[in-house]
Amino acid sequence: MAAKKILLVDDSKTALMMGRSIVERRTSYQCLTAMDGMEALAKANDEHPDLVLMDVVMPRMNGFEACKKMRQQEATREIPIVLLTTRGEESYMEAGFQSGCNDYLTKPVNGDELVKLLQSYLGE
Amino acid sequence: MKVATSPVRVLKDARLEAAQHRLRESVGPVDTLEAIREIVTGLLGCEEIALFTVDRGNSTLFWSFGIDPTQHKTLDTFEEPALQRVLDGEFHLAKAVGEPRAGISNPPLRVFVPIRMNSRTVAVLVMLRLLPQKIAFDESDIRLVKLLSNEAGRGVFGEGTDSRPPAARRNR
Repeated sequence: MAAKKILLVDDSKTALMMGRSIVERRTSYQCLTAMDGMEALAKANDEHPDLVLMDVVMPRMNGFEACKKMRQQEATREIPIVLLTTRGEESYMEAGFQSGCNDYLTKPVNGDELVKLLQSYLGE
Repeated sequence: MKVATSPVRVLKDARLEAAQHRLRESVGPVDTLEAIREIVTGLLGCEEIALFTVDRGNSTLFWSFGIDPTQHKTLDTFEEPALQRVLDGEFHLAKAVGEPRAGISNPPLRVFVPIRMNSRTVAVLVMLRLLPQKIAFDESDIRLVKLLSNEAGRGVFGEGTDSRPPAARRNR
C-alpha cells in the first residue's frame, strides 16, 4: 500500500524543517512541502496529498485563499486542510473555517495537539 | 533495541534541531536575521522583536520586526532593572508592561536574550510581548533561547559579515 502523504505549506524554512522532522520520525507518511499558497495548489493537484497542513500568512497566495481554491477544485475538494497560524483571535479562526479548513491550530505548535491531530486524520 | 520516544519529546527535539539547522545553514546577515525571525515567531511565539547592538555601555537598535522602531531606539527604553545581568550573559524573562490587550488578563511575557560571541555580549535580542496563547516558558523554550544566545551572533556579526544595520545596507 502506498504511504499516505502530508503536504506541509509554510514560507518559514524553520517551520518546514520542524514539520518534516516530526512527520518523518513519528510516522510512515510521506512528506511534501510548499512555500506559498500557489505552490501548494499546484502540488495538491499533482500529488493528491491525504492532508494539508498550511500556514496562513504567506507571500503570493495566503492560506485562506489557497484553502478556498482547493475547495473549489474537484481534485482537491475532499482533502482535509488544517490551517496553522500565530493568530488565535476568534474572528481570524472564523475566517479560516469560512475558507473551508477542517481544523485550525495556533503557533507555537503544541506537540500533543499536532501528533493527535495527524493521527486523527491519517490513523497510527 | 529501539527506545520508545514520547510525541512531546519528539516535538521538542524537532524544534531545537530545526532551529539549529536553520541558523547553521543561513547565509549572511540578512538570511540569519530571517532565521531568527522564523524561530522567534514560529517556535517561541512572539511577533514583536528587536535586536540591539551593545558596545561599552551604549546600545543601538540594529534590526526589528513587528514594532515601531522609533519607540525603541536603545535598550534603555525598556527600563529593565535586570539589564546588567543580561549584558553579563544571562537571559531574562519579565512581565511586559504597557498597553493591555483586549480580553487578556495576565500581562504578556517579555524575554531578553544576550547574543554572545567569544564570551562577550555583542547584542541583545528582545522579544517584546509573547503571543497571548504563549502563557509559559518551559525547558524546551529555554534551550531554544540558549541556542539563539550562542549561535545567532555568528551569522549577523561574525567575521566577514557586513555588520551595518539592514536598513543602512539597503540604502547603499
